Amino acid sequence: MAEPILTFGCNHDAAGDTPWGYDGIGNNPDINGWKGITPATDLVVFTGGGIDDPDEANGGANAMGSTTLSSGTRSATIRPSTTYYTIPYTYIEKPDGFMYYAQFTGKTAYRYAMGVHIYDHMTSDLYLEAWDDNSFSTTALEILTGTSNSSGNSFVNAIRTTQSAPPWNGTGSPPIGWNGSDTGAAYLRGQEHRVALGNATTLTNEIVYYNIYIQLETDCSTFYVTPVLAFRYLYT
Amino acid sequence: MQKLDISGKTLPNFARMDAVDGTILGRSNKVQSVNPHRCRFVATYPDGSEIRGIDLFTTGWDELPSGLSALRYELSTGHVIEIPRYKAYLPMIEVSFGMDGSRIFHFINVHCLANKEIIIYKIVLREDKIAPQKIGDVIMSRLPLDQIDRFRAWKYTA
Repeated sequence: MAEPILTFGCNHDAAGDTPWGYDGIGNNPDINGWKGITPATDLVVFTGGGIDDPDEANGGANAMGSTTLSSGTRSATIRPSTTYYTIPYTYIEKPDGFMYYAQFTGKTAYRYAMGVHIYDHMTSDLYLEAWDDNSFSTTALEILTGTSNSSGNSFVNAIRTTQSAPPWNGTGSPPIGWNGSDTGAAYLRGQEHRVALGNATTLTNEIVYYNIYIQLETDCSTFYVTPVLAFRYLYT
Repeated sequence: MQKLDISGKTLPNFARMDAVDGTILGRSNKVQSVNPHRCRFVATYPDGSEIRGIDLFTTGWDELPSGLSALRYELSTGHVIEIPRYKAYLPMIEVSFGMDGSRIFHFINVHCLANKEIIIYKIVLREDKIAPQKIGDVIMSRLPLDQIDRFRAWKYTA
């Protein structure tokens, strides 16, 4: 058997948090409001919340300001001083300069945010991991090691949503929502802290879903880093 | 139409790749990996004939007929790992695919069906400055029989 083929997508503007519905290679993944993500050329960007950010001014997570929609004018984000801060927006940046808002991705209760289509057969689950770089061997970045305020947990929270929506642990400001301690979730760091996206021993011609966000702590440094999200699997 | 296909055999994260191996330069770690284009299984049959796999991308294992008498893996680095005779074999390649298009092959996990359990030969395909394992090392472990994967790719010995 050959290596299975993975196709990545995010829910860009599907009404009502709809599933992807992509049915395999050779077809267009840009369907049902979803956008395909091309590895190697597209970037998953976590940002937003900066000063004069029109999204913040408009006060709505779906109110996309024009400054964040074109290449080179990404809004900043905040290093918080009084309480933790969840980076509010996730984009997929394409090489043509367009940035597509992954509107359901983040600390939300949405199930269909990010997806991976598996063509052919894996003899294992599909594991989502985070590493310093594409040597897939170290996790020394602060965003992965965490800080005292994050109890040594990575800032990157991810949760499996293949079977159900994330749990929502109450409301508040900021909301508790879900985090890496919930069932099917992890504070992503290397192979030790990862998410099994299918919760299965094998996967064949199907889509697995997850949601992901980054939460900054008040004792973190200011940084710009590019850790690598990786998918580990087995095949014959 | 936008077609996404990561089934290609390019490895953009490798800084140097030759016939023997390749290098990945991380922020603080240097990883040496086998050349996956030149690693394959070799199955021997009772009549002395051999069937050789293709590479680690398209292994060719599914097309392999049962009835083999011996199995070995040949790595690009020259390591030859002979797998002892068992009732059946099921190799599983462990790979990581990064969202930046990078890829690395970690291990070949050869599951071997014994009388009372499954013996796993984990063949190491990469080494670095941190992990103690080196390319060509074999890490052995066991699984109870009730965890057998009944997937079709088990190949039985003669």
